[in-house]
Amino acid sequence: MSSGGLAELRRLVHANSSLALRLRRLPADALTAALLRLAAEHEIDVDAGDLDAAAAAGGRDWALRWTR
Amino acid sequence: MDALDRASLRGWTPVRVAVRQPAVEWAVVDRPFTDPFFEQTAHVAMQHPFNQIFARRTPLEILDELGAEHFRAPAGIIFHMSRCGSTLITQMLARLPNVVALSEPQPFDGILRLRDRRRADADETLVRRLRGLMRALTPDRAESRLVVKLHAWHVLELSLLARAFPETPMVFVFREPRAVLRSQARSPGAEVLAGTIDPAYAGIRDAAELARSDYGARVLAAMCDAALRHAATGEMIFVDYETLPDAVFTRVLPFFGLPLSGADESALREIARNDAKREGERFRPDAALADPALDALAARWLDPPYAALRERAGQPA
Repeated sequence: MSSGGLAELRRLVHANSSLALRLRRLPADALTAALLRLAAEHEIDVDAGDLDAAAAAGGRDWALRWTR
Repeated sequence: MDALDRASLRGWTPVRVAVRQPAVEWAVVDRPFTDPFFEQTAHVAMQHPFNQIFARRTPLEILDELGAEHFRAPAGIIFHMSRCGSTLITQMLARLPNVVALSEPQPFDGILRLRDRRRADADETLVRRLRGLMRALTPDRAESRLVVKLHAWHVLELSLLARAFPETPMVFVFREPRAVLRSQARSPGAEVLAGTIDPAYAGIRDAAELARSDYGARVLAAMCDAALRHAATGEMIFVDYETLPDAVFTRVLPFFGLPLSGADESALREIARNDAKREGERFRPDAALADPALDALAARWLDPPYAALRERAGQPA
């Protein structure tokens, strides 16, 4: 996994609220493709496995906080 | 944790304030907050992979910055003693065009739990952060108005909340205490369980020695007393469950300055026929079975404040 690439992608999305809102409106299956395109445009080293793992970790973290 | 970048938070909603390692958690929530509780809508939003990957954490200080901004005061804040129709009121208001009604948003609870009562000087920061949170939750559209129903125990922080939102009308919703105690005995809410709040906040010094029902009755009494204390100094109206749903139209909406059209009224009355906490279910009143132990608790702790609340609500004793 490329954690550096993921951090870079997060910085990019967090810095641009209209980009974030556009991405959020995408259905889940289209989101991965859009993120991979975005990463390629900015030469960020991220693949689909990184995104799947990040989503799984984020979902797990939230679930743990939700149940507490 | 994210840097403090106010501009980049446009479109993001604070969905949670973490208390153990204090931080604000933000997500992009793109559906209206019409679920019975804020956390349900937040939870659904957090199931989308975008939020799972990109949800943000910022230091609490971002709220200081937001709290210093000018923003439209909320149309109203709803306090309540639990099991008294406050969720119904919020659901009705949420159906009005141009009203965003948030039901028990966790972030307010998170901020209030960070209060250090030993340090009065820290309250200034807390007031600023409560305003910052309200600012972050206020819709950007100029015609939209915000209403917030807080958790039941937040009425114990009423003086602090009134300092944070001095221009905001406040409502306290209450109900005949035996009905509240019966409902809490059947299915206890967090507000009446030991451990949810520091019992000293409710003036209870002997919490460890109390049976669960005694503790619950005393916490409920403390909530009613807190609202009554505020009534002497602040702008607040009192709404009895008995007068719902009519009181929404005759008292709450005018007090909050929220307009109503004829079409809205019939839609809102339809909501009142449903169970506010169980989507798709018709409302069925609780069975009024007598319980001598609960009746005794009501008589000892809750009847006096209930009588005072009814008087404040303009109802016969």
